[in-house]
Amino acid sequence: MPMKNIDRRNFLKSSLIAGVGLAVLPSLAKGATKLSGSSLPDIASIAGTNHFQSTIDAIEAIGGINKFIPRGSKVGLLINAPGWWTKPGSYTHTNIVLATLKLLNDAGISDICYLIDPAAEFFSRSPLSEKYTSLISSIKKCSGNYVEVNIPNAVKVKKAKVIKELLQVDKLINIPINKHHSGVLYTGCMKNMMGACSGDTNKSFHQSISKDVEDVEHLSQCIVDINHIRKQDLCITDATEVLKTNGPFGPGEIAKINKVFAGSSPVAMDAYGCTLLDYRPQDIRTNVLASEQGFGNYDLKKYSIFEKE
Amino acid sequence: MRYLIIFMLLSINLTNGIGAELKNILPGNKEIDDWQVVDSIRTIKGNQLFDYIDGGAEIFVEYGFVQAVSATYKDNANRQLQAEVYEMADSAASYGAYSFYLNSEGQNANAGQEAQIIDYYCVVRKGNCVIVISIPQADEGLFKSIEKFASAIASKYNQTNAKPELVSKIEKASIALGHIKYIEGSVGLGNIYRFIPGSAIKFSTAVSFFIDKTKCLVFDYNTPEEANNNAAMALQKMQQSNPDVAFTKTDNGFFFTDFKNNQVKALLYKNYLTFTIGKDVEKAKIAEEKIVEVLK
Repeated sequence: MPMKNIDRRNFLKSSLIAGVGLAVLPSLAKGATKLSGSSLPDIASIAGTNHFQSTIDAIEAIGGINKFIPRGSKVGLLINAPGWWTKPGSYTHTNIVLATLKLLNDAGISDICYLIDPAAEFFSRSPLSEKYTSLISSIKKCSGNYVEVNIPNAVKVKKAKVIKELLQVDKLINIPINKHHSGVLYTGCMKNMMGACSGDTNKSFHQSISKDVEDVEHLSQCIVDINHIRKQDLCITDATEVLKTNGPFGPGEIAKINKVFAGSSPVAMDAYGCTLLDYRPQDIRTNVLASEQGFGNYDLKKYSIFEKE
Repeated sequence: MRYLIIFMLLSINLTNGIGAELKNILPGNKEIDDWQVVDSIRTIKGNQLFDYIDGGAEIFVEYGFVQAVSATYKDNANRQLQAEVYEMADSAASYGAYSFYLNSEGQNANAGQEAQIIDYYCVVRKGNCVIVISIPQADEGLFKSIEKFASAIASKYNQTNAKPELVSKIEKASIALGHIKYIEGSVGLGNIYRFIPGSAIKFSTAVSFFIDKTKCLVFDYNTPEEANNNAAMALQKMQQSNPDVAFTKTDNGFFFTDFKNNQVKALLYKNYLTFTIGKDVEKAKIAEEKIVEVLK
C-alpha cells in the first residue's frame, strides 16, 4: 500500500499539526519543517473533500504561489479538461483550477492563458464558479496556433508541433488529473504535456501501436521527449475522484482518493501520484525513462513529502 | 415483387448492423422519451479513434477496431447522456473489449444476455459490437434511461454473442468468480498483471479470472512446445529484469514472490501456460488444480 512506502520517506507527518485548522496550514507547515530540520517539502499532498481548500493548502505548503510564479509573469495553464473528457474521473476538477486562479489573482498575476481550452461546460460544473466569473473571463483562450519545435535531446520525437503560447509564456502551471491509462498505465504531469501538442504530433506517438509491448515503450519515450520542450514550473495534480480502470477515457472504476498534491518536479509528482493508484514508481515506464534521461528521480526516498490526511 | 425483395434485403442489412451505416444504430431525436441529440452523431473510423479517445484507443486497436459512433443526448430537464457503439473485428474482439468494462460491482441490465450496469454506465455486447451508455455522474434517476438506450441499440442487432473458446470452457466449468477477461496482447495484459519486463510473455490469446482470492491467468498456445518455449523465455527475461527476486524452478514451471508479497506460480500444462497469483498459497494451489481439471 502506498502509505507504507511513505512511512520510509522524509515526510512531515500530519500528526505534527493534528487538531489545528487547515486555514493556518502554511505557517504550520513551515513550523513542521523546522521540526524535521529540513526545508519546505518537495511535494505537499492534502486530503479532504473541499478540493478548493486542499489546492490552496497544498500550494501554500510548498512555499506559496509566488515561490514558483513571480508577480508580473505571463502564465500558461495546462488543464486536463478538454471537451473530449466527459466521463467521471477523466478530467481535472473545476475547483482545483478555481483555487489556482484565486491564488494567482491574489498574488497580482493577471496575464494568464490556456494552453488547451477546457470544455465549454468546464466552469459550470462547479457552483463556486459564480463567485469568480470575472476572473474566469479574464483568462485568454488558447490561440489554436501550433508551431514546430526541434527537440535536440529527444530520443524519438525530434520535432513536435506545440501550441505557440507554450513557448511564449514565462511560467507553466500543469494541472493534470491522476488517472489510469490503458497504454502506459498511469497519466499525470508528464503525460499531460501532450495536451500542448497538436493532434498530429500526438497521433504519431500512438500510431505504431500493434500487438507488441515495445509500442508502450515507444509511447512512454515520446512522452518523456516532449517534456524536454520546456520546464513545468508548478504542478498541481488532481487525485480527488479518478479513473482507476479503463482510463484515460472511461467509463471505468472510480477511486475516491480525495487528494490534491503540488510540487515542481513532474517526475517526483508522477512517482508519488502513481502510488495512489497502487503502482510502484518503477512500474511506470515514463518515470523510469525520465529518471534515466535526467529529468529527476522517481525514487521517492529522495524527496520530502508533506501529507495532511 | 422485385422492389419488395430489395426492401427485405436492405432491412436484413440494417437489423444485422452489418453493412449498414453504423450511425443509424443510434436513436434519433425523441426516439427514446424526450431525449434529443446534441450537435450530431459522430462516426470514428480506423486511426481517428486516437483523436476520439486518445490513450483509450490502444486496447481497442489491440483487439481489432473497425469503427465507432458516438452521440451526446439531452432531455427536457437538461440532463445529459452519452451513447457509444464500437464495432470490433470479430466476436472475440468484442468480448475482449466488453470484458474490460466489467467489474465486481456490476449488475445485470435489462438490455440483453451480456449487459451490465455499473455505477454510472451500462455496457452491452451484441455480436461484434460493444455498446456503452454513460452519464456524467451516478444518478439513479437516469438508470432507466440508460437501460432504454442500451436495449434500443442492442435490439437493432440480431447477431449472436459467440465467445472465445477458452472463455466458454472456463465459464462452463463454473470455477471463475465473476466475469472472465479475454486478452489478445500486452496492453490488455499490462492492465491485469504487470509482469516485469512488460514484454516477458509472448502470446496471442489468454484469459484472466479469479478463483476465490487467487488471480488466474491462462495463456493459450498452439502446441506444448510453444508453451514450453515461451515459459522458458518468460523466466529468462524476468530473471534478467528482476535480479533481486528469487525465482524457483519446478518440474513444470517456476514461482516467485512479487513486490506485493503475492506468490506468482507458473505451471505448464499441455499447450497452456497458467499463472496463479495470490498471497494465500493453499488457496492458489486449489485454484491451480481447478484450472488443470478444466484444461484436461
